[in-house]
Amino acid sequence: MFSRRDFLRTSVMVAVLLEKNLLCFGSASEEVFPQGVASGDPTTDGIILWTRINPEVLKILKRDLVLQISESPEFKNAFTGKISYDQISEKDDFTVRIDLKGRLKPNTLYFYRFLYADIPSLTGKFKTLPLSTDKLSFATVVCQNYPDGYYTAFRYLSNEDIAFIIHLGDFIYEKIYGKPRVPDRAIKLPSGSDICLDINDYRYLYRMYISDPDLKLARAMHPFIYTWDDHEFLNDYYYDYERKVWGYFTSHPYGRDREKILNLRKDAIKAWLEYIPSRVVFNLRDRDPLSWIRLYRALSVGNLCDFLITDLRTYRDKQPCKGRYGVPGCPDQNKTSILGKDQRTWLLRKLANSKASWIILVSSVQFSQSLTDGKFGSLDAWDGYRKERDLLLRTIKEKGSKNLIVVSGDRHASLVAEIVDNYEMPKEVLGAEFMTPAISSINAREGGWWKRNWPQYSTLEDFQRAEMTQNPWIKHINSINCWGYTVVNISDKKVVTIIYSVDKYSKDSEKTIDGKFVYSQGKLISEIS
Amino acid sequence: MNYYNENFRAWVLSIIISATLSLISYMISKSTDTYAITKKEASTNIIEIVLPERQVEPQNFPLRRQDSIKRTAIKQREIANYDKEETSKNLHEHALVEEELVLDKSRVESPESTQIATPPSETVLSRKQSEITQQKIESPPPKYAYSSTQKALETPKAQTKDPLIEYFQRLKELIKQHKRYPEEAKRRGQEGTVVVRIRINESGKIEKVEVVRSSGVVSIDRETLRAIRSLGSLPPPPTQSSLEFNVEVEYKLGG
Repeated sequence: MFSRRDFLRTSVMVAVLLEKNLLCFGSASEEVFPQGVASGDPTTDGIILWTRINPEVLKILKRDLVLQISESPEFKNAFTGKISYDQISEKDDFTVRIDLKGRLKPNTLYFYRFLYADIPSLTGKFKTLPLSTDKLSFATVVCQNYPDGYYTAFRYLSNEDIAFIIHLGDFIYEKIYGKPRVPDRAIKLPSGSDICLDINDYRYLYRMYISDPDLKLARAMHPFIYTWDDHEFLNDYYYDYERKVWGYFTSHPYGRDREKILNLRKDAIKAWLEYIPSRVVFNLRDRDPLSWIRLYRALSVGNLCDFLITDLRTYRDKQPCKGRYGVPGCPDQNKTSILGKDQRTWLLRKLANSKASWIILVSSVQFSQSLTDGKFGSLDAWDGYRKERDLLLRTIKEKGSKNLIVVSGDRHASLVAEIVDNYEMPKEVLGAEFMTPAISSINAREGGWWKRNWPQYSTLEDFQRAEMTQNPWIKHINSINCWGYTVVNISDKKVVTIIYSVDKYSKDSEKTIDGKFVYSQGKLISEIS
Repeated sequence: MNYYNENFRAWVLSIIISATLSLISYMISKSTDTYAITKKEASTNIIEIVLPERQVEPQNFPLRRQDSIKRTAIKQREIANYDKEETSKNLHEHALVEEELVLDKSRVESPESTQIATPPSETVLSRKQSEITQQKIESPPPKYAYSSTQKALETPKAQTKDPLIEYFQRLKELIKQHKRYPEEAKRRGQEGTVVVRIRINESGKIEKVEVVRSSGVVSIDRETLRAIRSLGSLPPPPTQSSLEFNVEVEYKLGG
């Protein structure tokens, strides 16, 4: 398949490309394409490409935009396409997205760039998916609150040898949550509010976040597959089926004004669609707000793995019981749905029918149960929706397979757990959960929130130990000093996962390993203790 | 002759070279056969990419010179890919959407405008707002037991005592007092920690005890279940509702 020479050739090309892209920063290229380039949702024969032109430049030069795609980073024999000037406008905030579906060869490394008045953008690269394969590596990232820290982790990620990056949500934070924790990371919404009020606020955030050179580099160097968590819209949001509008947990000037919240939702979706290259179904004119965007989707890579990308916010019932964090449970945990009816039907069918060696469940929030000293860690995660979780586990168990890999995020911590058949009396292990730490968002140590609910523990280390003892499926937690990303290496027989830690407080942090785990046939082993 | 020979050699050599070159170029052209975007196209023509009028959702841009694009081979392949059904739905819906993404707020119809003004009775938000106003959170909002106030963080112990924590400590004590080291395990020098799940109802009656993680020693697991069951009832929980918790019970010789 991929020979050593191929590998060397590729790695040299990638190194050259990285260097070239780094030289672009601060040049004319950056002035014309301030948010760089990006690609998303790769298939065996296509990809979605993205860029945005500085509106000032566009207005002055009034030129057409040129796209080049080639198998060589020097753009020899490049395909050249032209997007006429009048097609780029403020309607989409000067963003451009092109779907190349059906036009590319499988398992091929491509380079692409945009040219405007002969000024090139960053050079992006992506590889189309293979028709069949016996191994695949991908990365997961989550939670990148801009003022909370630097995106140094993305710089390391740019250089990883992976097929794509799964973004588990909280790409932006809709609110300014306090002062920046590092220099030069202040955010000021155009509306002057501290929380998004309209599309311009959401657009501003995407622009601001993506303008970060490390994130820009990662978006150029790898295709992304995105889903949402809550902060793409509003904190801890859920759907109120009676009022037909989303509820949330934060103070917002729109309060419970249904019309305003619905319009805000449209703004959030529209801005996301403009800035995130993604192949999802949407229709903002639908009478049913739940049909405005459908993020849940599936992706198969040969017969090796089926990715089931879920949306755990849009359709969920309100979080059950009293309080969401550090609270004892209640019978309502067995009545709620986190998936909603249609997504549940879709997911159960996919789980039951999957014939791939591995099922990768992409879940923005923690899957495994966590109940410490009689209190659930978070009823905003799957613990608040237990019956539905049991339903998924039963489906996998009935198939007799032990091939469920859950990739999750949201908790601003790394966590590795066995997926057990049930959490009352676990009998067997059906898979493993790998939660990736935040890129930059504040963690338990910084926030100190655990102290309020578990003051009987004098240190966070003690609390984490108790959590792991009382929830014995959990094998690893680090909510103390871990930010970074996770690389999941899938092969036919086993999954090897490495969680990388990159300190968000410095732009020159080193990359270290937080944990390395191997899962195979119902057994999860830590390779580094 | 010599001269001729020299020339002839050069001539043969040039033939060989040009033959090799054309063979190579032929091979290259063969190898790029399935390349959707061909060299020929690229060097001679720039292709117009037409974005949908309200370009939000990408569509396959129509290439003017359809004939030069060799994509049938790719298309025919049975590729396990993004859900086929979803993709087809995608394409179907894109057509709808292009016209529909209108940002002009006044034109964004809200599904049931008549029902909009439903005043909150016991509102989520008002409760939330009161929560928020007490908490000047200097960090992203609760993600995992994050509902801490800045104040509470600084002085965690000054807080009012959480009855659930005390209750849990009492339970641990009770179980500790009731458990007996199994003779068999003692004799064999076996130690271990078992994690059990206990469910009690609102009056404290034990409804269920189960082993969540075995100690690895049967007699220890069994003794733990017996000890807890023999309690029959526990003090009523402070939450005045049913309660479940996992608790670890440790057996250590000489301890």
